[in-house]
This record gives sequence, C-alpha cells and structure tokens, in this order.
Amino acid sequence: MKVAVIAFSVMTIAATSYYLLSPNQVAVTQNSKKSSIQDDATVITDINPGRVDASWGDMQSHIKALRSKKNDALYQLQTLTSSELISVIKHALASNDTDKLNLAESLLISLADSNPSIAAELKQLIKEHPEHESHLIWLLAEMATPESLSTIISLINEESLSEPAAQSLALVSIADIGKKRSTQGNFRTELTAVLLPELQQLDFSSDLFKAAATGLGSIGDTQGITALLSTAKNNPDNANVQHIVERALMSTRNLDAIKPLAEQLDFIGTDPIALIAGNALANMGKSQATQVLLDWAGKLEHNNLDTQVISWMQQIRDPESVSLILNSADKLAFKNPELLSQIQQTVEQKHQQATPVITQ
Amino acid sequence: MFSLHFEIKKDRHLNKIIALTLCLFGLPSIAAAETLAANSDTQNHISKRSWHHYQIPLDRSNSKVSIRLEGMNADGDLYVRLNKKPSRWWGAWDCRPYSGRSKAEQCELDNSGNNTLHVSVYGAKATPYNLKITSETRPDETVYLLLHGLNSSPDTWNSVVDGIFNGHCPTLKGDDRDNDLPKSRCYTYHFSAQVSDGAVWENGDGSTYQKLGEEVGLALLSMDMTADPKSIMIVGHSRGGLAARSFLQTFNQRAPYPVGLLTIGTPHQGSPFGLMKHWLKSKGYQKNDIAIGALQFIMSPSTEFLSLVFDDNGKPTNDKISQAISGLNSTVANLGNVIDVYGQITSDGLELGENAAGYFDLLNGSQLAAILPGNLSDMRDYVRKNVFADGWITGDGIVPYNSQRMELIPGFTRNGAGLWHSKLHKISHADATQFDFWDSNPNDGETGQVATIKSILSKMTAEDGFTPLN
Repeated sequence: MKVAVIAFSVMTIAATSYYLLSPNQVAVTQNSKKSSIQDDATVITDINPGRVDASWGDMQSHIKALRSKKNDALYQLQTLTSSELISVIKHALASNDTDKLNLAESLLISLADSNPSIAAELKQLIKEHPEHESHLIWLLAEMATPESLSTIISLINEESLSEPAAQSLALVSIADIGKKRSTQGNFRTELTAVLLPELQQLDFSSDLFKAAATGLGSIGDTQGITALLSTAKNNPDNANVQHIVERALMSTRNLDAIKPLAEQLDFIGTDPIALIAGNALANMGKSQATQVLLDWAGKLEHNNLDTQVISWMQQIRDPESVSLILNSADKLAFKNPELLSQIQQTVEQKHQQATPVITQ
Repeated sequence: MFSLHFEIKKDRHLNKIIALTLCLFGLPSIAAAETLAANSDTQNHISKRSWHHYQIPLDRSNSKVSIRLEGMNADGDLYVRLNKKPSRWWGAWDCRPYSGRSKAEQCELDNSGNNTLHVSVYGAKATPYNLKITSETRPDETVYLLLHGLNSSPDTWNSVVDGIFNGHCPTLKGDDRDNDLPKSRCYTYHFSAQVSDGAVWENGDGSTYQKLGEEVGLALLSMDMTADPKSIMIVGHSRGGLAARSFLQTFNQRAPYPVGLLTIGTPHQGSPFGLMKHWLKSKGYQKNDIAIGALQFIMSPSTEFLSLVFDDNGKPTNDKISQAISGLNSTVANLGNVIDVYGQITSDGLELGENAAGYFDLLNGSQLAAILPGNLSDMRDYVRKNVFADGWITGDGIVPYNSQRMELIPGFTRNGAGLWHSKLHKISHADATQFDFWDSNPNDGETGQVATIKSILSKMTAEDGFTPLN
C-alpha cells in the first residue's frame, strides 16, 4: 500500500495516490518494442533558449507581440459555441496544434459554469477518442463544475475509460477536486452534493469511495464534513472507513469545517470519531481551529487526556497558532494549569526547532 | 501653395462660425499650458470668458490626484482631462463639477501610469482663484508571481496563498484578456499544455525552457498591465525557478522595476532523476506504458531536460548535463543584470529517490514494477551510478542539494545583489511548498514550509524598492 507515490513538485497527486492506488489495482500494459539500453546520457536531444541579450524594451515588444498574437487567435475563437470549441479541441489534438488547443480549452473552461452541457459533450468526445481520454479528464477536472465532476464519476462507474492510466487519473482528479479553488479563492462547495452519494457506496474499499471522501475533506464545507463524520460513526468497526475518513479530514483547510469537527470533541472517551475530529482540527493549520482545541482542553479537569492533547499540539504548525499558544497565555483559562504549561512547553520547543534559519 | 491659400480664403466663413462657437462654448484658446507639480498651490486671476490652462505630469507613483479650485469670489469652472486638453464640448473632459455659484469645485482622478493631467479654468466671470493639486503617492506594492514546477499546477501554492496572501492569488494563463484580470498583489501562473506526436503534456511538461520563459514573460506583462507593480517578486518551485530564469536571463539591462527571485528546490544544474526518462526511453517505454496517469510525467520532455550525470570528480560537467540545462546556464550571468535580490530554499538529507515520508523510493525497481512492466531492477543503478559526491548524492529526494544552489551555477554572479538562503532538512521535493507534511509524522521538529517561505520573503522584501512582507 505504500508503493504508489512518486512525488515530483506536487503533493497533490502524490498524497492522493497514496489513498487511491495499490499494486494489485494497477493494470500493466506491455510495449513489445524494447530497444537496447543507451548508456550515454548525452544523447539527449532538446533545445535551449540560447543567448538573447535583449533590452527590456525589446523583450517587452516581443512578449507584447506574442500576447497580441494570442489575443487575435482568442478573439477569433471566442465567438464560437461550446460545441464548436470542442470541435476545435478535437482537431487541435489531432494536428498537434498546441496554441489552438490551449486557447480553445481556456475558453471552454470559462464557459463551463454557464453551460452544463459541455461536460456531456466532452464525455462523448472521450468515448470517440479514447487515445485522448487522460487529457480530457484533466480538462474536466480543470473545469471543476458539478457537471464535470459528475461526468468524471460516471466515466468510472460506467467503466468507460479504456486505459488504466486514465482510470487512475480520474480518481486522483476526484480526490483533488477540493484543491481547485474559485477565481476568488473560495472553496468550491457546490461540488459537495456531487460527491455525497459516493459515500453511500456499499463497497467501502472501492477507489471511488476513497476518492470521494478525500474530495469532500478537501472541500471542507459543513455538509461534507458532517457526512464524513457520519460515515465513520455509522461504521465503527470498519477500520478501513475510519482510516479513510481520518485521512480525508486531515486535508481539510476550510474554516467552515471547524464547527462540525468541534462538536465531536464532546464525545471524546466514548466515541473514536472524537479523536479523528481533534486530529483534523490540529492539522488544519488555522488559529481558529487551534482556539477550539485550546478552549476544549481548558475545560479538562483530569489528566487522563493530557497525552492526547499534547499529541495534537505537536501537530500545530502555523505561526498564528504558535503565537496564540505562546503569547496569549493570560487569555487562556485552563482548569488544569499544568496542562497549559505542558502545551506551551511542547509548542515552544517545537517552534524553536522549526524557526527557519536564513543566512545571507 | 495655391491650394492652401484657396482653402484659407474658402474657410473664412467657416472661421466666423468657429469664432461664434468659441464664444458660445468657450473652446479653450491655444495659449500654452503652464506646467505644475503634482502637489502644488497656484494663485491666479482669470478674466471673464477666458481660459487658463495647466498641465501636470504624473507618474505611476501618483495613484490618486485631487484638483481643487477655490478662493473664488465669482463663478469659475474647473475642467480636468487626462492626456488631452479639456474643452466645454460635451464629453471633452473627464471631470467638470460645474457647480454654478459655488466658490469651490473639486475633481479626483485615479492614475495608474505615466500620464499628463490637463487642468483648465474657465472664467464664467472674472474671479481670483487658488488651484490646489494634491497627489496621493501609491504605497510601494510588490507583486508576486508564483510559478509551479514539473507535474504540478497552481494548486501547489494553496498553502502559500492561504498562509501569506489571505487566500487570494488569481491564476494567469498567458492568454489573459485585459478586462478579465483582477487586480491583486499576487498571481499564480498555470503553464500551458503542449501537444507532441499526439501526446498531450499538461502543465508545461512538454515545453522547452525557452517556451516556459516566454510564458513567464506573458504573465509578467499581464501583471504589469493589471496590477501596476512597483516591484516584482518571482517565486519558482522546482522547474518554475528555471522558467523564471529562462525569461530573466534574456536581458542585458535592468528592468523598469526592482525584481526579486526566490527559487525553491530548483534543479539549477539538473537532476539525475532526469535519467529515469532516458533509461525508460532507451528501453522502449512510452507514455502509455505507465499505468498510473499521475506518474506519466516521468516520460515527459520536461523530465528529460533535467538530466544530469557527473564526471570522475563527482561534478556535473557541461557535456554531461542535458543540453537544455547547459543552454540555460550558459546565460546565467545575465541574471546579474536584472535581479535586485535573490533567495533560495533548499533541502538536504534525503537520498536521490527517497521521499521524506518514506512511503516510496523512486528508484526502487521492485516498487516501480507495480507501475511499469518489465524488469526495472537495473534502473536504479543506471540512474545513481554517477551520483556519488557529497552534496550531489543527497538533497530533497529529487534534486541534489548542490543543484538547488544558485551560487554554484558556473558563471553565476550576483552583481551586488543579496542572496538569502534557508536550508531545510529532509523536506521532500514535493513538500517544499506545502504547509505541512502529508505524512502525520513530521520530521525533526520541522514546521510548515510556508513559514520558511514567508520568512525568507520578509528578508528579501526588506531590500530597497520592495514592500516589506509582514
């Protein structure tokens, strides 16, 4: 299970792959044309930018010309309907016309919110051109609309994807959908309703269940978080579900998640879900979540939960939370002052270790 | 000559009409305008039905300009227009309060560049007046551009955007239409897809450094037109740093504003990781042989461009670095022409192929067998056999530590600019822009990398010309 993470530049894919992929779920394709190993790395052929020595004005003129060219092409395309744009994309893929592909896709993405039929048209294109299914799934994921997400899910459920790579990409797209923020930087909470039905699956070990749970966790609105918590509560003996929900909630960064998570803390000691919720709050990296944990810890009279509290506080990483704990001690009312002292020592020690060393 | 003379004679009647119109509408005379400063107080007296004209040169630092006509004992009118002389013709002004018998009139204009503000006073009646021009100076605004790396996207900056920029950094795409761009203090950029032989490489993974550099130029142009920055801070993760360099190294002179460059885990001298592609290609593997979509980037051109092997002394040499990297590095001295302050975040302590979380060893053949067909056991040896020297064997698991250091690029010169450096320990390449580890067992007391990024940016922006980041 620990096998399928190669991370290069993106935690997004790497982290999600961990949940989604296991060796026995990966179909292997064979390439019959194997050549001998060329042991000389210098045979690599590529290009290099060369030396330009341009003035700023020259380069700005060059870039302005590029932009103008792009804009001209864009203006030509922007009068097209979504169906016509999809046709342009189809031909651009066939003719390796990169510039047109990027512009048409950019326009199509901008239309996706107002034109729900785009996703269905792309689904049809995937069926007609399976050789481009991975890229078209990428395009659907970039749109991040309810319709595009729903289409990706339907492609999985209908087993319409021919390549295992496309299948895995579709799952990763679902799991990572919460990371696609809106232009204003908001979480796309409108996608929650699309993912919720996938939590009701009977097969909790399915890849789609894991992907949907992760997606809901990263969107992090109240409805999705509540559903995740309910799923874990309703399956107390299913370690797989508990684990998936716990990992999904650790990806939550949405402040709206704090309330439903905080409500679970009252059940600590009687319900394992409380530990999952506390863990999620500690991992959120938001001072508001840390404040909830501190308020809760302040009410503890006995030290039987001290170890748990300290464990959570060790995960506190954001500077605001560190400052809250270290600099606002007089504002923190603790029934057990010893616990507050332990928390502060823990955070201070960690904070000192973690202070970036910057040299010039 | 005849023609001209004829025209003048012919238009005599018309001139009478124009003169009448001038009388009725008060079209400004062609008297030369007096130049005033952006902050000035001018006292004057105007005759009935006459004009006084002023012009005020503005630069981008004059963000908001207020023009107030006061001190009158009779009706005088204020006309204001940007870059053209105003008149009483309808629409031939940007602001005309026209407040009748008011003893004061006022206009305010927003300014975003080098413009000439034309201010005219018309004497409906003879009156003394004070003309006060006041200009708010735009606060120094450093605008940030965040560039993602290979097999990545703007999403990789979510933690940074949340932690440093209050959750809002619009994404540029290179084809941005002027009217669509929101003004912001930071932007992310999404590198374009490339189609090659029917295969599509998203996120710039099929692009050359020249192409990536052009895209950075397009992003900067969009930023320049929208956000009107006083200075620019470019932050590049991994290949994003190379893309930034590709653009910036084309210049032989300073930019019109201060420029800072922060690279995070950037493979300035490549990475042996790039040899994976080379080995796989030599064995005949193709993109679709990799059964996990998210890992197909291993076969991308961008991976191959990173290739790096070492000579007998354990140092990378130009003939062993990919032509793409050596080509890019051949102009590295040009950075000194453009950059006002450098920063770099590096990570050491992980062996090539090792992920900090320990879940996966990139070069472990038996683990890769889950992804690729065939016997891959010798790939690790192939990739690692040249990697033996200190500083080149360990790093962030993908990029050797020394390759992440700009100052080690042959020919690199700071040209007096500062270079800030923060060295992380055992932070894997992919985690370098993340707030936390996706592993629940943090290493060595390290906190989120965002705190490190913020700290080093604070140091960098303390330099002249930048807005201090608090």
